[in-house]
Amino acid sequence: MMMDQNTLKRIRDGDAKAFEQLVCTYQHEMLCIAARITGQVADAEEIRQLIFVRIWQSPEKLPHPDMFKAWLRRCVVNESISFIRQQRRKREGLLNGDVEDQHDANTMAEKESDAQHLRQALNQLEPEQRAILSLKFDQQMAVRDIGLVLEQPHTTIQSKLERAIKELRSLVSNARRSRDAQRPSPR
Amino acid sequence: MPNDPVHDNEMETLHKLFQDTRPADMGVDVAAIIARAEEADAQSIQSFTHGLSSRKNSIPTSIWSHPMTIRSAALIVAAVLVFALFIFPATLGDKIALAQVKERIDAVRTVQYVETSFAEGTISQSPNSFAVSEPNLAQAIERREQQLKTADDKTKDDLEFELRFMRTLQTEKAELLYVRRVRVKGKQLERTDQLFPLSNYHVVRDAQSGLTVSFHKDRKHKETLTKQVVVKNNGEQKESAVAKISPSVDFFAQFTALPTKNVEQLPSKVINGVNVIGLRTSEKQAGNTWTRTYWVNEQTKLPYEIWSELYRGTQLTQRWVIKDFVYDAPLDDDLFSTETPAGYTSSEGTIYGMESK
Repeated sequence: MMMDQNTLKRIRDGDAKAFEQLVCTYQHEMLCIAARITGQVADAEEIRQLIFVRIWQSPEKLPHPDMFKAWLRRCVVNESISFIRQQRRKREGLLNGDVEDQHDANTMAEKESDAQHLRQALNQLEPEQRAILSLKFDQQMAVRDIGLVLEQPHTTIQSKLERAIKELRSLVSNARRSRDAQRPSPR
Repeated sequence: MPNDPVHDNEMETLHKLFQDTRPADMGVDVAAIIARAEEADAQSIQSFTHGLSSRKNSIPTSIWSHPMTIRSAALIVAAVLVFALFIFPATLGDKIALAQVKERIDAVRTVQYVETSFAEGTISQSPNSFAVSEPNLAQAIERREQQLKTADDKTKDDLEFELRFMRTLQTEKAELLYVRRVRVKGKQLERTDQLFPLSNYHVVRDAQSGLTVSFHKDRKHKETLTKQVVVKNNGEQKESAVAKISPSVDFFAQFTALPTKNVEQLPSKVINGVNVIGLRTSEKQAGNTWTRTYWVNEQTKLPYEIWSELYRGTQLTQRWVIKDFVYDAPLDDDLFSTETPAGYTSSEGTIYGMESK
């Protein structure tokens, strides 16, 4: 669904109902993209809320309706990548934190679900790769449209996507093999 | 690749994997978002010399008065302080002495200019800088063209001025953030009209009385700032009546404070057929670098254009251009009226600022 001029105008005028309409339209998509990039639903919820708060605070900065969806996705991707970078900086030098993360990762690996394998695999990719994969497979976007969101040529996106798929496939396969190896063999 | 069955199968598998593992979502509480936004508004900060831009208290700010959060406020206020370090060497080389510029500005009775801000590079990632898309500018121009058809003579002049300027912006490759028209009368009265992206309000400031009033055309509403909240460094807030800050408006105050060193003189050049000489300052602050270039008309000894740039590291993130200066043209007192127009409602507002040292 596309935001129409009237709805955006009402949001600019402080109409909470129109804002609610915007929230309902995009909230799930935003959470999904952010969660794929950050790897944590709780972080994704915070990022999503932050973006909605800013929209409500500064509605005059909303783009033209035709560009709204791409703009919003760009906000989510940028904010999520920025979040990850901040987290990385925070972790630098915090050895205990890294150990705990590794412990959590090991625990999760034992849970044997595709969702966890995918999350684990995605977490090993670069944030931008996660964004491209999420836009491609969660949002089912064409490469050209992903290029618009990420402000990169579609040819660049195409090669990045292929590389990301290759790495993801390898990581997911490894995770599955590891899981299968730990299972008792049927006799 | 579309005809590659293995690849297609793999894409399908990945697509299914992503769809099957979408994160569960409880949804968003819209009321909580609005409450959080309003709470954030109450905590946001800006220098008391200027107005705050929030939903309820929308006041156009300028390069000298910028909407900001606590974090960016600290940066900008620091930069404003650094601004006090710029222009003034003992001489300006062979052609213009900065003292002459200062003297000329001091003698100016009215000044008008247009301030434009552009996003560069990563600005759209900044928490406070959602980028404005180019089609909005086209719409703003179209809106004025429509208004021009039925405008009276006085309004027509304004609209034509705005159109002339905004059309020149269409050739810019950078992302346009805002355009403001500023008119100053005497050294105390300033009127700022927001031209883009929204053009539905203006603000009048009286530096002498400390009065700041915004007029919202669409809502037919006038808001007068009556309270200020100072947020101290320890987070404590102190509320009081709005304080009078400067004896003159920004334009004059900045030039009055110009220091006399660390200014680079650039080769003279011609802008729009006018010979100008450049004076550039560069200041580092908390990992950011501000450069400001004053292009001074060699003949009049007055600023012709002012360019400012903000670098984060080596990345240019935002720049401002102040141009279309008009000096000493008559300006009607009505432009600076703070009276409530007929049919308008009115209210009082609060401005937030950080503790100054």
